[in-house]
Amino acid sequence: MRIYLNIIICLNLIFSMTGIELAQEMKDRPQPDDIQSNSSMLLINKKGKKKNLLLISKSKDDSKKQMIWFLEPKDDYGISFLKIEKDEGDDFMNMWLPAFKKFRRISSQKKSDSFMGSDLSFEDMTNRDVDDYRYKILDNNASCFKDDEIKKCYILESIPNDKSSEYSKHVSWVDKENYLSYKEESYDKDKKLLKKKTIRYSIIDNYSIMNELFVENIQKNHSTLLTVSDIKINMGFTDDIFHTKTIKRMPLID
Amino acid sequence: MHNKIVYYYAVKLILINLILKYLKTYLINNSLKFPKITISLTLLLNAFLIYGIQYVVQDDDMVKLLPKNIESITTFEDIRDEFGNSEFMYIAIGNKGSNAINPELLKIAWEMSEQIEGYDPIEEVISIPTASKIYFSHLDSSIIVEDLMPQKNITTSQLDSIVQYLNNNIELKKNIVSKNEDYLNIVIRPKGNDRYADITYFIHNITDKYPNYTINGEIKNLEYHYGGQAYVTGAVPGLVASEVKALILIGLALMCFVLLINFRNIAAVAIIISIISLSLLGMLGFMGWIYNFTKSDIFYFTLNHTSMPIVLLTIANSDGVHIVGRFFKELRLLKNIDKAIRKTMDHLTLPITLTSITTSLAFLTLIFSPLTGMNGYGMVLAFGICLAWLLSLTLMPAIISLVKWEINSKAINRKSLLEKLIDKFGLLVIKNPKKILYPSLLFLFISIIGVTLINVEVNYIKMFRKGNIIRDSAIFLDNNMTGNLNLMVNIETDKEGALKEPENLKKIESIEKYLESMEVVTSTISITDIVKQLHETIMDGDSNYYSIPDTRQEVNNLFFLYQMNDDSDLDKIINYENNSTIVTSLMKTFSTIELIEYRENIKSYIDQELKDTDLTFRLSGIMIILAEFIWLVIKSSLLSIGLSMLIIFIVCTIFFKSWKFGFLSILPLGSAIIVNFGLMGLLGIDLTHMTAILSSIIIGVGVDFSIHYTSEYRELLKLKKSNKTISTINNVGHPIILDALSNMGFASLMLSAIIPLAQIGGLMVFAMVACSFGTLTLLASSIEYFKHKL
Repeated sequence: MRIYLNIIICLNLIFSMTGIELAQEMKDRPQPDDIQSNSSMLLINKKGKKKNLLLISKSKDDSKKQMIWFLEPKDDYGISFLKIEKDEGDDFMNMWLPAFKKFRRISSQKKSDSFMGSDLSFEDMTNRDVDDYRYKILDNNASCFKDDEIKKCYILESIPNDKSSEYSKHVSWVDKENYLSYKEESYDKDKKLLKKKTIRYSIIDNYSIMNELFVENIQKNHSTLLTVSDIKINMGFTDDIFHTKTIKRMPLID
Repeated sequence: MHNKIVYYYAVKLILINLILKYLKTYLINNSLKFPKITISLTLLLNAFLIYGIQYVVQDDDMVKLLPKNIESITTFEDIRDEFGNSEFMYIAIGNKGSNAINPELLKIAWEMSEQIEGYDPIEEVISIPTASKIYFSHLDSSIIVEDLMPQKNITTSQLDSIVQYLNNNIELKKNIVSKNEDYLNIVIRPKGNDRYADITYFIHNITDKYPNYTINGEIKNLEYHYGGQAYVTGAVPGLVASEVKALILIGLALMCFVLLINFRNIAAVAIIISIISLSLLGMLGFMGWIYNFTKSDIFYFTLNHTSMPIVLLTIANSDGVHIVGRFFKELRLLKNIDKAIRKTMDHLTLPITLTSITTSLAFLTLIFSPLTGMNGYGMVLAFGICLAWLLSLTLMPAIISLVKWEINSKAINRKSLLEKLIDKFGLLVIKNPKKILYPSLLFLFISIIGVTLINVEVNYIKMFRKGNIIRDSAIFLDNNMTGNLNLMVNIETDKEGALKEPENLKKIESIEKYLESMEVVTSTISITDIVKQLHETIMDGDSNYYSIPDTRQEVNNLFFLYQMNDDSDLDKIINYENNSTIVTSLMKTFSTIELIEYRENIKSYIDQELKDTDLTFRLSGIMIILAEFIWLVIKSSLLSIGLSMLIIFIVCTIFFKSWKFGFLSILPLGSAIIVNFGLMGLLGIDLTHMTAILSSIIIGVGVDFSIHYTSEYRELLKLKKSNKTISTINNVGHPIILDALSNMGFASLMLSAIIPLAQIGGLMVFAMVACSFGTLTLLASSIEYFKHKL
C-alpha cells in the first residue's frame, strides 16, 4: 500500500506542472492581434468618494503598444497617452496635454507611479515577461471563483527578478482549464499585502478578453474599478498608428 | 417666617440629622467598635480601586483638552479628516558648521527614513532620501519625475544633482535642510494623533543607533534635534510624569519631616501618610476604572493631571493633620485613647464632612469648564476627596484606636513649639484686630493691582528651562529650520472643481503671500506652489512661467500630470472634489501676546482683500488653537473660581444656618486667590494652563482652613463661651499652620525643569501662607471685629 502511495506521489511530481511552465501557459494563451474598447475607470477613495473617468483604448501586441484618450470628466477631455514597451531599454510613455498643446514624455524610472490616479501602477500596466520572474506553485488544486462558479485553480507565486519592482511577490489564482487568472494579491517590498485584484473576462471570438478589473490598494484604502465595454478585436491596427501624432486627435469610434 | 421654618427643618432634618447622625453614630462608632473589620474593608475597597490604575491612559494631545465645538477645532478636525494629520515631528541631524549634504550623512538619513517609513503609525517621511524631483529634460523634451536621491550610496555627480535641485527649489530645501546646510531634516507625518508617545520612543531608538559617522576618515559625533507639535505631545508626558513622580516623592518626604518635627511621633505621621497615599492611589485607580467603562477621552491622564496628585495630597493631608492634632490635644486632657478619639471625631466630623462636600463640589464645577480635559479632572478629583473623607472618618480612627499611644510621652503631654507660638498669636489678634485687619486689606488691595498685570502664556517653549531637550530643540528648529508652529487656512467652496479656476488659485496665492509677509512665517505650502512649479516645468523649465496658468484647462492638465506621480501628495493639499484645500504656513515659536494680534491681522486681511469671492476661509492649526486655548484657560479659571466660591457660600450658609458665616467661609479663600494671582502678576509669573490649577489647590486647602475655623468658632458661640477667638485659634490654629507647613513640602516642585511646575512649587508655599494667614488674620480679625453682629 505504501509503495503504491509513493509511486503515485512520484508520478504526480514528474507530471505535475512547474511554476514557470504555468506562467508560460498563461502567456501562450491565444490573444487577438489588437483590441479597441471603451472603458470606465471608477476611482473610490478611503472616504467612499468617487471619481469616474471614461476613456477609449487601442492596443496591440498584448497591450505592449497602447493608446488611451480621456473623454470624461470634462476637464480631462482630450488628454491622451501613448505607451510603447521595448524589449531593451526604457519603455516609451508620452502624454498629450491639449491645453498646452504639448507632448510630455513620462519617465519610466518610477514604475510604482500611479496610472492616471488609479490604483494601477505603470508596472501593473506593463506586460510580464516570463523570464523576469521566479515562480512557484503554492497549491495545484485550490478552489477559486469565476463569478459564482467554483473552479479548480493553481495558486502561483511570482517573484520579480527586478530589484526595482514595487512588489516583493504576486500570488495569482489561475484556472486549471484555461490558465486565466481570476484573482491576484500583490505584496510590497516589506512583504505586506499591498493590492488585491479580481478579474473578469468575456469571450469574444473565442478569445478571453478582460472586461472588468477591480483593484484595491489595501494600504491606501483606495480602489479602482475598470470596466471595459464595446470591445472590438483584430481591427488591423498597424504599428505606425501608435505614434504621438495619433494621440493628438480624438479617435473616431464606430 | 414660613420660609424660615421650611429652611430650618430642611437643613436640620435632612442634612444634619440624616448625614451627621449617621456618620457619627454608625460609621464612626462602628469603625471604633470593629477597627480590624473596618481596616480590612477599607483596604479591600482601596485594593479594588487601585487595581484600576492599569487602565489609566496617558495622553497629551492638547486638542483633546479643548471642546469640540469651537471653530478652530472643528476646522482642525475637518482638515485632519480630509487631508490627514497636520502635526509633524522633526529630526534634525548633522554637526554645526559642517556641510550636512554629504554622501555619508545622506546614507544615514536614507536608512533612518526607510526604518521610520516602515513603522506602522507613520503616514509619510519627508527628507532628501524620500523626496521626488520633477524637472524638464531638454534631452528628450520630457517631464521627469524621479527620486531626488536615487540610491543609498550616491556618487559625486548624483550629490551635485541633489544640491543643484535643492538650490533651484528653495521651498523644498527649507523643509529638508537647515539654513546653513549643516543639518538634514527628517519630517515625519504620523497617521493619527494617538500614538505620538510610541513614535517618539521609536525615533529615539533609531537615532540612538547612529551616534556618529565617518566622513573623510574622521569620526564625527552626530547631533540630533527633535521637535514639532507631535514630538512635544509625544515626549512631554513621559518627561513630566518622571519629573512629577520624583518631585512628589521628595515633597512627601518633606511633608513627613515637617509632620514628624511637630507631632514628634512616627505612628501619627505614618497614619497621615498612609491615608493620603491610599486616597491618591484609590483616586488614580478610579480614574482607570472610569476610563475603562466610559472610554471617554475626558478621563485621559494629561499634562494637566500631573497636578492632581499634589492637589489631592494637600487636601487629604488637611483631614489627617486636623484629626491627629485634635486627638493629641484631647488625649492630653482626657488621658484615655478611646474617649479622646471619640471626642475628636465627634468634634471634627462636621468640619471634615463640610470641607469634603464643599471641596468636592468645587472641583465638580470643573464639569462646566470649557476645557473639556478639565471635566474629567474635576470628577476624578471630587471622587478622590470623597475617598479621603471616607478613609479619614473610618480607617483613620480605626487605626488610631488600635495603636498603643504612650500617653505620658512628650509628644502627647507637651505642646509643640508651633502650638505655643500659635497661642501667642491668638492673643495678638484678640488684642489688636484692627492692626491685623487693615494691613491684610492693604495687602489685598496691592494684590488686586497685581492681578491686572497678569500675563497669559501658553507657548510651550517658555514652559521648559534652558538646557531642556524640548526647549533647546524648539529654539534650534526656529533658528535653523522652519520652526515649530503652524497655521492652516482651509479654503472651501460648494462647487466641485472650483479650485481649478485660475481666479480662485490667485486668491489662494494672495493669502499665501500675505502669510509669507509675516515675520514669524518661515515657509508656506499650498496647491498654488505645485501648480506654479509644474507650469514652469511644462513650459520647458522657463522660470517666466512660474505662475498660475490663465485657463482652467491648463490648470487641469497640470493636476492630471501631477497625480500620475505616486509620491504626489496632492490629496494632502486638495480634496477629491477639488473644492477644498489648505494653505499651511510653518512658523517660528512666538509669544502668546503676539498670537492674538497675528490672528486678527490675518482675519482682517481676509475680510478686506478677499471679500468678493465664493470661497470661505477658515483658520486653524496650532497657532490658532493656542489663541483659543488662552481664552479658555482664563474662562475656565474664572468659572471654576466663581462657581466654587458660590457653592462653598451656599453650602456653608446652609450648614451654619447663617449667610454671614457663609460669607466668612469664603473670605480667606477669595483673598488667598487674589493674593496669589496678584503675586503672579507682580512677579511676572505667567498664567498657563498649569499655573491656573493653583486656584484649585487654594480652593481645596483654603476652604478647609476657613471651615475648620468657622465651625470651631460657631461651636464655641453656641456654647456661649468667652474668648471665642483665642480659643478657636488655640484649637484649630495649630493644625492649620501644620497642614500649611507640611504642604509646603511640595516646594520640591521648584526643582522641576518644567517651568510652570516649578512655579507651582514656589507658589504653593505662598498659597499655603496666604490660606493659613488669611484664615488666622483676615478671617480671625474680621470675626473678632464684627463679633457682635454675627
